[in-house]
Amino acid sequence: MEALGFDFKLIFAYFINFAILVVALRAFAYKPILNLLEERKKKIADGLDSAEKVKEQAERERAKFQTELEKARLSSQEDASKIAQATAEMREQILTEARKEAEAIKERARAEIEAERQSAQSDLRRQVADLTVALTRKVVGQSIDKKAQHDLVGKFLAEMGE
Amino acid sequence: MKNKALIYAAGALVLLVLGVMFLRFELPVVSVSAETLWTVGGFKITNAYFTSVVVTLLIIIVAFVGTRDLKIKNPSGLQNVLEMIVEGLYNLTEGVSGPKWVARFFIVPTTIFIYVLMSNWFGLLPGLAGIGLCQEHHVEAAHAEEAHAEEASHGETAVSSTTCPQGQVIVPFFRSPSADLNNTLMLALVTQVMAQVFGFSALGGGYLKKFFVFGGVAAAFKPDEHGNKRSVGGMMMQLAMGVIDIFVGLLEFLSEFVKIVAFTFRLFGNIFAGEVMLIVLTFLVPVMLTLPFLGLEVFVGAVQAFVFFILSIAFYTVAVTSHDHDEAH
Repeated sequence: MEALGFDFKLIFAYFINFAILVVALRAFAYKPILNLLEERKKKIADGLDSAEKVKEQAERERAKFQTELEKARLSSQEDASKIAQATAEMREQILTEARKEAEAIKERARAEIEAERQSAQSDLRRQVADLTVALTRKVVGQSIDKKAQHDLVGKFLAEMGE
Repeated sequence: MKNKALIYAAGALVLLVLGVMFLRFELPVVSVSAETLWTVGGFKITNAYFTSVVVTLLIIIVAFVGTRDLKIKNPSGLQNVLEMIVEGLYNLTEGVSGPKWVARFFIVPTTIFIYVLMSNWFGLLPGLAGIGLCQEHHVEAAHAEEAHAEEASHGETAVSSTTCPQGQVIVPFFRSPSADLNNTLMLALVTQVMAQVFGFSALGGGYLKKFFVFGGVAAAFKPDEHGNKRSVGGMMMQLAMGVIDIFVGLLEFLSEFVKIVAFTFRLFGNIFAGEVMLIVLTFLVPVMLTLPFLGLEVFVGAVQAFVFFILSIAFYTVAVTSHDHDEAH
């Protein structure tokens, strides 16, 4: 034993040394570091949790927004179709009115033309009669009075007009 | 590339030869026990103990400085290292012992790991063997005569190259505490006592049942598990099993003491042998050749520290595990 250097005092001294080391490391290293690791673990877990929550929230918002958008699209579509329908109706109405007006204008023009034609015809008839009277007077002289002559011409023209 | 390697090799060779030619020195005294540096009031302060104090203080200072300003976010260099060590060993302990015991198990073995690792590596610091006090070379009488006879036969080669006066040798200030049996025995005792404490605290008086197993013998005189009376043959069989159990228990009891011896000498032997090998190699070829072995010793030092750590944890775990429970599985 002596040759190997065993010495109880030394063993005890080493023990004191080691005990101090254990206590010091426990106080300075193990406890603070393990606490820190635990804290960090908790923090990371919290962070992940909150990130998950935020993600969920965002997902929910997105879904909400999506449905809202869908709704808006639907309503706008409805509006558009309604407007299109109204437009078509209005077009139809305008067209009908226009057609009616055109018809009326045409009708009026036709009447006017007819009236014009009537007046022109009667004018022509009178002029022809006058002319004929004049001619006849020229040819026959002043023998026939105006009254007989007119009757004659009127008769003639009536025959011609047939 | 190849040229460079050749130049390095040639340089190494030149260093090696020059070292052998000019750097020869006396083979230092190899002492199994740590040498005494000073005696204070009847207490011998050996160089190993002195180193132990230095190592302890260094560890405490590093731990203190490294954990003074712990940060949860973006930890800096030293904090990272300390965190890695503590977390790694803690998780390793948890892996062996399970979550229930880890907080209690981990403290002492982890301290042992750090302390032994630093002790082992401190002893390897180059140059420290040459710094020390000059003291009379006193070995035991028988050895002294042998040494004297040897010196006489190789008288002309034994030229002292140290600065110590004739007849004195350097006693280095530093010697790895792991190369001192007092230290390794202390660590072994601490570990084993802790194992018993854990065993008793976990199993109470049942812990002793691991070592003193009389249940088997007693069962021979009781009815068997079905409640039937045992036949003579059955009784003899049970008796024999019981006696075997008693011996196994006694062996386990003995092994608790053997573990102390094993712990003590495993660490001491590995580290002391490594240092002696380095000294002898340096004596034979002063430069270059020791380098690979220095690396090897660094590795051995780490392995021994780890072995001490993991065996402690394993023994603690065995101590708190009930035998009956084991067999039930």
